[in-house]
Amino acid sequence: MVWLQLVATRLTQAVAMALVLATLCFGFVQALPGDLATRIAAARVGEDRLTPEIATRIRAQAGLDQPVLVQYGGWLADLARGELGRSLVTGEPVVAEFRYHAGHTLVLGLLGWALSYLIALPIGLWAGLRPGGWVDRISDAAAVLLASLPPFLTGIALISLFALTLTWLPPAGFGTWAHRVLPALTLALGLAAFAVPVIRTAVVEVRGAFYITYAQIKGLGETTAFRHHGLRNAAIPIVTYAALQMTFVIDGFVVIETLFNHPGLGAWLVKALLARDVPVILAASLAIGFLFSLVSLITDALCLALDPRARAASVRLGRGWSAR
Amino acid sequence: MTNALCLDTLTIADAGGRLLVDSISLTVPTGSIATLVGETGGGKSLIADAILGLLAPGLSASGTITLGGLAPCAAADRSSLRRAWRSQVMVIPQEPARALDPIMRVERQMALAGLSPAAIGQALASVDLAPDTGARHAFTLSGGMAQRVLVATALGVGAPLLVADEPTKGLDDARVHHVIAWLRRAAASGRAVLVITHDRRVARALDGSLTVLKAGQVVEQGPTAAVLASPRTVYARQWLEAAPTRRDPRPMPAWDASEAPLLSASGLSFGWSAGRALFQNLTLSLSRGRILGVTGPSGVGKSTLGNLLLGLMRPTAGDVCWQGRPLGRDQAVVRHLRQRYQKLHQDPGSVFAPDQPVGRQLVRLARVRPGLDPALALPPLLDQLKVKPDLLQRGVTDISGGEAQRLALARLLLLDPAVIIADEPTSRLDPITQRDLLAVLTDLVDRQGLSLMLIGHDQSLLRAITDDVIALSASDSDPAPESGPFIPSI
Amino acid sequence: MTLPMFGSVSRRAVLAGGAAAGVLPSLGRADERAVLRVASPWEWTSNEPTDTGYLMTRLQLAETLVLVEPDGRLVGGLADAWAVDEDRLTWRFRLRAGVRFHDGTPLTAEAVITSLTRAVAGESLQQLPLDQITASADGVVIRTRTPVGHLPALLVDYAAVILAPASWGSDGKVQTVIGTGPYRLAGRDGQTMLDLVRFDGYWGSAPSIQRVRYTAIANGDTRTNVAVAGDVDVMFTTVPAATQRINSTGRMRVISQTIPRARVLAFNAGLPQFSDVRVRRAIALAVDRAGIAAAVLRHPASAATQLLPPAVADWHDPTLPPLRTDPAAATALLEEAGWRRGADGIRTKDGVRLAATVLTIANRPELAVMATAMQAQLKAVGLELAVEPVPSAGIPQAIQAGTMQMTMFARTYVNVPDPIATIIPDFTRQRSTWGALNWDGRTRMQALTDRYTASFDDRERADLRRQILRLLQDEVPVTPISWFEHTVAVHSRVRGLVIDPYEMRYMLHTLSLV
Repeated sequence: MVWLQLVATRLTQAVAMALVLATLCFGFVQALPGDLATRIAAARVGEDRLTPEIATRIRAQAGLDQPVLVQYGGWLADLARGELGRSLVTGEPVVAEFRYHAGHTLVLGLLGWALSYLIALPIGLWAGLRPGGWVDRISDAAAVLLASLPPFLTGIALISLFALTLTWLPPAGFGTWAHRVLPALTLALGLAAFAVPVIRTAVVEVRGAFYITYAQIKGLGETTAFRHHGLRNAAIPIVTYAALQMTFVIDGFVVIETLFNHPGLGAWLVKALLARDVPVILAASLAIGFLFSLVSLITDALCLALDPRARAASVRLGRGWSAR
Repeated sequence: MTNALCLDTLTIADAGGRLLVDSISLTVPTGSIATLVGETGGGKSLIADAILGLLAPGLSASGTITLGGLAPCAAADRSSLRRAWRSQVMVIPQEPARALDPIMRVERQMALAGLSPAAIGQALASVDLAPDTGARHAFTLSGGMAQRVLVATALGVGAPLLVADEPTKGLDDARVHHVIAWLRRAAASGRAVLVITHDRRVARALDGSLTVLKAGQVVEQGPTAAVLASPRTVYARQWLEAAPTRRDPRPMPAWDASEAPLLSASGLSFGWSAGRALFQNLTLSLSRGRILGVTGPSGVGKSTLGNLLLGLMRPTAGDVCWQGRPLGRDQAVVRHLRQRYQKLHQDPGSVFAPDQPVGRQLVRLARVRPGLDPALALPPLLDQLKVKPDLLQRGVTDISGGEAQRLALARLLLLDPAVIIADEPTSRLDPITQRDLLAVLTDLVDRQGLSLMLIGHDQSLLRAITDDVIALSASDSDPAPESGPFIPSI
Repeated sequence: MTLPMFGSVSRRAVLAGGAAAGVLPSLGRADERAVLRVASPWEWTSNEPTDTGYLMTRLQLAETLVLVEPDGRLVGGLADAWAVDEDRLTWRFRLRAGVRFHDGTPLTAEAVITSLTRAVAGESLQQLPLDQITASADGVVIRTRTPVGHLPALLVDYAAVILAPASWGSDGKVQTVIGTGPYRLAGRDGQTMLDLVRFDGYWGSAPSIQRVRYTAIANGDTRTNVAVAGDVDVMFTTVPAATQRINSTGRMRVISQTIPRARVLAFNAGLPQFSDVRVRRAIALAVDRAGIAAAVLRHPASAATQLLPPAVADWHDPTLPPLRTDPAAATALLEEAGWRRGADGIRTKDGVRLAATVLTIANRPELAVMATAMQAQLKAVGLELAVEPVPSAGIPQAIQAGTMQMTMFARTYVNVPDPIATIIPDFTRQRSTWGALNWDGRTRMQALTDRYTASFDDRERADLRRQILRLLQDEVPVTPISWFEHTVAVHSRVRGLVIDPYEMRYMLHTLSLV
């Protein structure tokens, strides 16, 4: 019941959010200064061949000379038929391009995200179990440093060390797992810098909870008490944060994909924005809106699975998942 | 007869060297009950902490603690004391809800204490908990139910010494009676029980031996009956007499009876889920200068009723009116009158931020209520509430419970309230402090025409000072025990 | 081959697990070292020759009827001979015998006609007053309505690559690129990675290298990293500032060649500030090209002395008095033209301030730096310059909107090997995007270019070229600032690198690996 309701609510939200976001993007693109067709022409033929005649031809071909509302209506009508159109720059179906870039982003994102928790979980747990210890102090300093560093600089530092100095890994490109290591690590370090303090705090808080002490009074050893009572309680804030971090990953991608010359949604979207490739921009905004809702759904599902309080609250309120 | 606990000149001092517990010696023989009573913040709980090796790191301890057949142990040796957990000593902690893992089922938590499924069922039944309680997650339990789960666990584990820290705090009279019965049963079954309480009725009912503490020192010690019969010191006598006096009936028409009641409710119902109503079709009204008492067993929805009346929650049915105007339909009402309907919390610590001087937080109220000059309004208020102005410099954690509650009240009064809903405002206070605070509250009602709704467990207390009492009856979520004989006031 | 390189390859191969993702064929470990790794900033935008044709010719996937050698000679491509009839309108191209497309089908006149007809959309071919293209017994016949002496050069345009009929889908768009070049497209991963395999049925001599992997790396810093890591064999268009870093690795070396692409300052000659040729000459005299080339470009030799560099021998006139820097002469010219200094040092005439905003193209960051350097030099002679970087589309937009005052951009004059094809649109129209705006000399220029176009006499054409260059130098519709250095980083294991100043081909077929 709870699950069905959750999925139904979130899916409705996802569709609504995606549509609103895409409509906003459509408005923004139209409101941007400069002529759309000229920008598209520049992206297609390059500046050496850019002439007003080519822009005029593209304007007519893409229907950009029609009233804005007609264009928007056309896009909506296509969308209703499940048709996202073709890129005005590459001429490829938007769906195919999206699938290609989303695949790369997904692999890199999941890898980076998993790697970040591979790094952050042991460190955060250790720091939380021994607050004030050397792991805690060093990880705290490192987290502050990494969190303040833009991913661009983290990436350059990793490239300098692993690709240029040690020559263990390629500095850029894609296609093999070796190519994924550095971008994923760049992503992971940025994420871990925020996750370590969250994990540490969750562990410290749970360890300080009286039910852990009481469990020991009941006769459990320190480790056993933490294993039974600490892990799951600490996991709730950590899992919530980790799932939400999936959405923050998106903004890191633009920089990382550019720096590592790796295909993906970030680079795709930026390129489309610069080229005013309207069908791509709209499709990407649809996808991002949908993705955010999906992550939201996963977060809620994990919380429901882990935390009986969340289940009880959802039954009680009956509605308003957003009230979380 | 052996001693399950022997304290020898136990002394506890804070980091500044101030003595919090001063050379206390105490023995608790197997099969007996020892009761420690004394003022709030008088160091009673520190003694329990010391026995369990749970004293905060900043506190120093000296003297010895001998548990059962173990060798005497230095009070400062926390790790040795901790090794006696479960085998020698078991505790019923002061905050029962915090001792349970909120997201684990009760039976699993009891099983982790080493109880077999059969023993769990038996233990739950012995404290009048429904059989399905074991399958519930701890967060769904009311405070009173959590308390009983812990009692059941402690009784089930069977350590020779049972330390109960304020075991009746926040319980209604019927439940207080039950706790006493369970503790006595534990003693009768051959266990030593050390009870820490501020409730003289509990001390009397438990019998055994009584130790009266004041400022960390023993002022009287002896068999309970003897001490109660003829207290030798002024403090002990005062402590025993600290029952609130019956309120004199006041003439009704002190205020215009024709005006709309400040607070009224009609047909009020509320339930967390459909079909499980906490209360239904409740009607009440509160006029100027009146005191309305609300009582009922734990978990019955007293605090929820308070929140409904304050517009903090929405009823499932019925209306709440402020000055005759319904809350739900008229948003403007809430906006205009919000500040004049205030709540006095059970725990003053939840009102003030812990890390800032209380005074600074009071001054900041000027932002909430334009036109308020705390510098002008505060001194006479503090004088009226008998609060020393130098307390304003301290953080709430450095202020005793009674004084903190007065400061919380001062905070409310700065907002010029018409109605105060006090949710068990004295349940954490010892009788003397409790009596003083209630005197302040009734004084405000009598002199300034405030209206007060007083939520409490203590029926005798409510009957003594209120004009009218609403008794909420138990819901299915927390079956009421059969009404035991009422524990009489001394 | 140095030892660290061996080390890095083997370690990487272990990490890679020998697998390649995407649509690319997997390359075994043993093969991997035989693959030539090529990189440049340019992505495979689309399959259309009008958009991406330059990559098709550079990577030698597809070819045109006529090819240009790096020394500027036009040679036979898919046509091995051509001649023009007496009417000077009918051009007969004989198709090379035995040429096959990558799909095995033979080159036919029909295929040529289809490709050329579609290529008319390309800018250079649009100038062609095309009457019709027909098939002949041994090739194709191209008829023009008016004589065009440089027609063979126009056919080198990348938009005019000849693709197999199977390349086109039913919607008239190119689905797959099936050309005739020495390499065929074996796989493509997105827009950034292409796998090329030597085409065994190639008509010419077979290249030495069998496999090529091309990677487009748009980001300059990333290109530098890849070059420094030695993770590439030939990288075109490296970042000039990174030359020393790349050279210091020992395994990569940067070589450069001046190419016929110029950074120029263009004027809206319709404005009162720039309508007087003396003002434009004064600006040309006030700009310190050598200083800018040394300080900004770190390559003093790239300071322009005329529009085109010596690499295009036909269109570089060594007898032309070179552009020079002489602020005193500039001041004298401005005084003579009636522009007087105001209190703030900026000149005015008839209430008009000698001031302008120069639009520079943002994705060529050096342009804004150069313009800023000129700011001070021009202020010294009394001209106030504001610099505003815009996207490349911003310049046609400003021209369209009538707000363009000055622009600075980089322009290639060899879209086809004969710069006349660029000079005509840039300097004979009132509104040209990448040239002079409202220039009053355009009619004189058109007279010269018309005569050049119609001329089939080499001596007459040479003379006309000199006149065109002199007109440009004297009238200053634009003032060239510097020529482009084409920088290429090459791995020590690569032999036989040739840089094509016309940027038509990467000359992969001359390369070998040691």
